[in-house]
Amino acid sequence: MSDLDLSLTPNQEVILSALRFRKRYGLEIIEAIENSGGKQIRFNSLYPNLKKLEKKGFVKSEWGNEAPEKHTGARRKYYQITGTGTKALETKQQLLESVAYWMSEPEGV
Amino acid sequence: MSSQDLELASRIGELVSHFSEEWEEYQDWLRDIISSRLVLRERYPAWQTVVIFHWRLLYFVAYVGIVMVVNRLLKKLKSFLLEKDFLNFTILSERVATVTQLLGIARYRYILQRTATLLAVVELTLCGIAAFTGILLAFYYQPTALGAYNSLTMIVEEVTNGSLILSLHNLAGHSLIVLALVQIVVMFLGRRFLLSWLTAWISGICLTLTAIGLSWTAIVLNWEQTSFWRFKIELSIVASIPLVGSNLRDILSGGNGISSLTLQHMYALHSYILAVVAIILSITHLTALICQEQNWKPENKKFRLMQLCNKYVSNEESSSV
Repeated sequence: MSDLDLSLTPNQEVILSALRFRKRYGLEIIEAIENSGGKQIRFNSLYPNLKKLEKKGFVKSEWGNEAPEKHTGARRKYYQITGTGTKALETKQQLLESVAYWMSEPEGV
Repeated sequence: MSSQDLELASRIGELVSHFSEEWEEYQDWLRDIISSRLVLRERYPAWQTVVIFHWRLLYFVAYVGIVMVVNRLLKKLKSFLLEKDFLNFTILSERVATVTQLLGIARYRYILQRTATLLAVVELTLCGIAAFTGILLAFYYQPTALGAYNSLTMIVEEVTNGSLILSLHNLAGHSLIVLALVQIVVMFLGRRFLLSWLTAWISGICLTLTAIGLSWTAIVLNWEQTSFWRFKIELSIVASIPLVGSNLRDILSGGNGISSLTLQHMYALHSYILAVVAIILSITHLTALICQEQNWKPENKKFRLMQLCNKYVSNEESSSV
């Protein structure tokens, strides 16, 4: 139980991948995923997933320098992957690698 | 996209900004909804852009609203538990010492786990009370059309504490349904995909259905006007089930109409089949939840049957030497 939970859902994995080399805001994450031909993620499921990742400590957020939106006064937030997030992503990729290379033991030897 | 849509978005922004915590957390979502208009305009016709924009706003409001309500409820629950010194007590106890090392979510899960176990204990107790009072009632109850109403009247009016026993029996049955339904919600919130949880989950759902079945079979047992007509309507509903409906009605009612035979069928189902099933299910449910609680204990304090057997065998051997 004390082990750190590094599990990721497919959507969270894609989001973390989009943040791997640079910090991005929500819409930019969606654009990055769409334009790279990756697994499509729904607009409405992006933000709940980002908050979950933030709670898990896989990403951290900071306010952008842009002026608040003129109608709502809402500010932009940039998300950045953390060390734990990178570790979670690597663990997932290692798992996929080991699944790919796994072979059954030869029988009757 | 008209200025009305932007007006709507600004109103939503104004509304959510009253709740500083949630606004701080989710304002970038609202900003991106507004920013995404340009992309939507390029891709879709005007009417579709408006629909998607409104849908995103609606989803945003609903999501943030639910988060807001859940956060407030959890805070209230936490402060209530702290007031009652419940959390302090559990934190201090050695049994849950490991839980304090886990994150807040783990504590929430632990509280749900304990609540589920507590509810399972209460459910088993209610089953026990219903069974015990049911046996006492069966001493005097006559499952016949002529005797049912009179025997129940006699139990209430003449048998010592008869009214109390009958009320307890009814109360236990109704409470069992309510608690079993609450238990489903509690177990869903604390879901963990383990064998013990799955066993408790399935047995919990079966227990709820059995409790409802017990209540349903008891409808006609008091042989009053209301229950007679209610049962008649419900039998006709059963009969309307495609293919098996009419056969099922005949099996339940024992032929055409509601007669002594119906009463005997319902009495047999209620007392011999469903009651026994309910007790077995509530024991299974509690056992599964107790097994699941073992996951919260440190490794050396977990209950293991094999360890107990080995310990017993080694004690036997040492005493024989």
